[in-house]
Amino acid sequence: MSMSEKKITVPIESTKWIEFDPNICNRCLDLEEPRCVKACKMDMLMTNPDRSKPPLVIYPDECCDCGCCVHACPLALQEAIKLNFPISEQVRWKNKETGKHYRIGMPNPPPPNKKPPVSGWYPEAKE
Amino acid sequence: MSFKGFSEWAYPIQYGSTKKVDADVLVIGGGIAGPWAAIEAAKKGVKVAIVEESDNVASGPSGCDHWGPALDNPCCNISVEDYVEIADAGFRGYINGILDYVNGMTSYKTLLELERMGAKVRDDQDEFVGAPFRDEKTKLLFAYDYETKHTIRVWGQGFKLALYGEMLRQEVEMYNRVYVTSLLTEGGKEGARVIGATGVNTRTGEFYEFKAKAVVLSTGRASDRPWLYSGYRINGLRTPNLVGSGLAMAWRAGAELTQLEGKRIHTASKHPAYATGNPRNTWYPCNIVDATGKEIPYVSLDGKVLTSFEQRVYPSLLGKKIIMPGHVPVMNEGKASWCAEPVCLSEKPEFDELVRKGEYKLPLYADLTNMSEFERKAIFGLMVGSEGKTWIVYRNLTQAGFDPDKDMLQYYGDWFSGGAVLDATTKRGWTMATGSGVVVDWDFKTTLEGLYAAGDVIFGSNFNSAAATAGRWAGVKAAEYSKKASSPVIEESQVNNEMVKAFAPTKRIDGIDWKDLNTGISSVLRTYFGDYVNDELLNIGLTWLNELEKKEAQELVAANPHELMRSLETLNLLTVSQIMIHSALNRKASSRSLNLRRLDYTQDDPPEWHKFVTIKQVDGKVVAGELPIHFWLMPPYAPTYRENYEQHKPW
Repeated sequence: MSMSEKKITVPIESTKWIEFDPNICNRCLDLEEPRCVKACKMDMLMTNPDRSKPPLVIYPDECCDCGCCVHACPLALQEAIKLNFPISEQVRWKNKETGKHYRIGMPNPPPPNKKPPVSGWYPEAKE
Repeated sequence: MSFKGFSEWAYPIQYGSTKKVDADVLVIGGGIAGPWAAIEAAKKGVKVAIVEESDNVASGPSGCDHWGPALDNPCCNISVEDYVEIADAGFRGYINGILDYVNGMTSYKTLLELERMGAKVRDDQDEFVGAPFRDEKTKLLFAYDYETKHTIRVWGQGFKLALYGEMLRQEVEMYNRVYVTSLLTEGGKEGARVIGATGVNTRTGEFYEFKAKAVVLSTGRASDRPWLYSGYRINGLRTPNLVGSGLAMAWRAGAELTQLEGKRIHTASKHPAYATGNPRNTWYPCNIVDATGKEIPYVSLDGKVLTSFEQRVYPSLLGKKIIMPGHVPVMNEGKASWCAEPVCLSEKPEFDELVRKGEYKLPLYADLTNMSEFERKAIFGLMVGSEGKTWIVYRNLTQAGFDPDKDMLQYYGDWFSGGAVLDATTKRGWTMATGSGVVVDWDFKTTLEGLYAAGDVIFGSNFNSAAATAGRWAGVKAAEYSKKASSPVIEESQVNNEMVKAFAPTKRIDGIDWKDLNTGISSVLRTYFGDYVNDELLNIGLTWLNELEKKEAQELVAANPHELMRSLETLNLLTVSQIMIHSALNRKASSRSLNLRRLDYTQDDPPEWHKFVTIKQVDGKVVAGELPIHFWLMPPYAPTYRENYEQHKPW
């Protein structure tokens, strides 16, 4: 069997580091390649061979938290794609007045802070 | 991670097929320097191709929160000459004076080009009217030094897309997802003119043969992968696909490199970049407080405790001329005394002792709550929120409820402090020094004919602006060269050899994966090229690396083109590691500036070793050389920065 005939596959692992909401993700069907896949520096997102489904996360431990995939998504603020930091990287903080401790990813989290960055969310992301 | 099953590979496999590309100028690497080089070369009317391992839309660092030193901006009141002299003294001469001068002279002009391409570089929406760091006329916002105004706060998240759009307008041919494996030379000979490159598509496995009259190398510097890779996530300040690939390729082609013996203390990143506050650059000059709310003071370079916030941003209050945090590593005689470089005491080695004595209580917090609204908004809302790479930090923190008006972010120490008491899990190590890179001249030409270079792959380069300004310069020079150069003839045997080497991991069924080899290389570097070295340690380390090259590197297996890319990166990482040890063996002296601590030559920077040690490969053998400090102001160059700039400037 020659190399070009060998069946090429990729292992898929369970991960929550990158999550797609299949009900919101529109697969970027207007493009040959979904925007998140195109933006990934580490190429650890793969266009789903079944184009009716969201992209696949391949090699999740190569993710470097750059967030380019979420940043590139026009439906990022609707959470079509989410980048969840690994547990060890879930940054912690303390409320100055109450002294209460918090972290990203905690159960029963406080309500989101809705304030956008200066000059608003990046134009790619629309609320 | 738990294995769920296999997916069919989404892309057509094209192992065995070759795509040939012909261009006047080939740019290798699409981060910051590369696109700028491509754009400027294309403006000269030549055919330009740019090849990038990721995709030009978001490759390279992808973010930028401060731009500079933009000494040519209309508000700046320090001269380029003075700035270069301060940097020079601070780094004891181990700088790239060519780059520092060119950047100082063209940084703001380059930022205006970015603005013309559609990027946001000033507060045109008047969100900071009245802020002490805002110039009301130009609406520019300044970082770090509100008096000298050498560095500009910017909305970096739009920079890459602006460059991408401009490359499309300039009809630059983009080859994305192609990992370049080698430089092609005339006659296939080492040390000869560079006339192209080979590469592999990281999705299809198709082989690429690029032919070009001139080549610009802009592949960056290594990330954390040499010393700090552990087989698990490889996040860090620099994108982990960076392994110094360009250095390895340039080395094999016979180019001269320098300062590869230099390294700096670095900790494995435990948190997303800039997500915990860092008083050294992006978060400068934020307050750091202890568990009881007690503020930890900033101290100046010469040890003076700063008593007011204003002293962090107005150098004259400290009797100094300039503040440039994180830029100047050592105090030196001469004009370095002009520089205040305040840093939070929590970053100093003596802080550990103060914690043990109970003077400060852990943990620490980055506290923006009692800073001015302008500072809070500039640091968190602009520099974190709109930088690009840290957009996700802003997004995830605010979604989780963090509010900088009320909350204090836990602070764990930054990459350079070691942070021993701040975080017991800190994995302290080293990273390639800022100084390490390819030797270039005033044209940003390497020692090889036809090969130009810009960005972090050249010696003494750092920051977005320096990559951009050098990239532009190199792009024009390469285009001009290509107009006069003869049409290259590719040596087919060289291409065939590269093809065989590149695809070897796809031919094997059983063997080892790249992670095993990468972890092995890191283990050798940490053991034999760590805090302290001597000839014996270095030689043993080199022996083990050479053995890895002969044995395990020949056993790499790649199941698909993606794994092949990581395998080829790791092979280049092995070459870079060998070069680093060869370089250290050739500097028989310690050097504080280069962080080289030798147990067999303990004197720090003795006069006879105060020079650049260079290294290259000739007939497969390592040949060391040297260049004097300030070689760029010595024959064949003119004696002053200004004269050289005027003689070589491309515009």
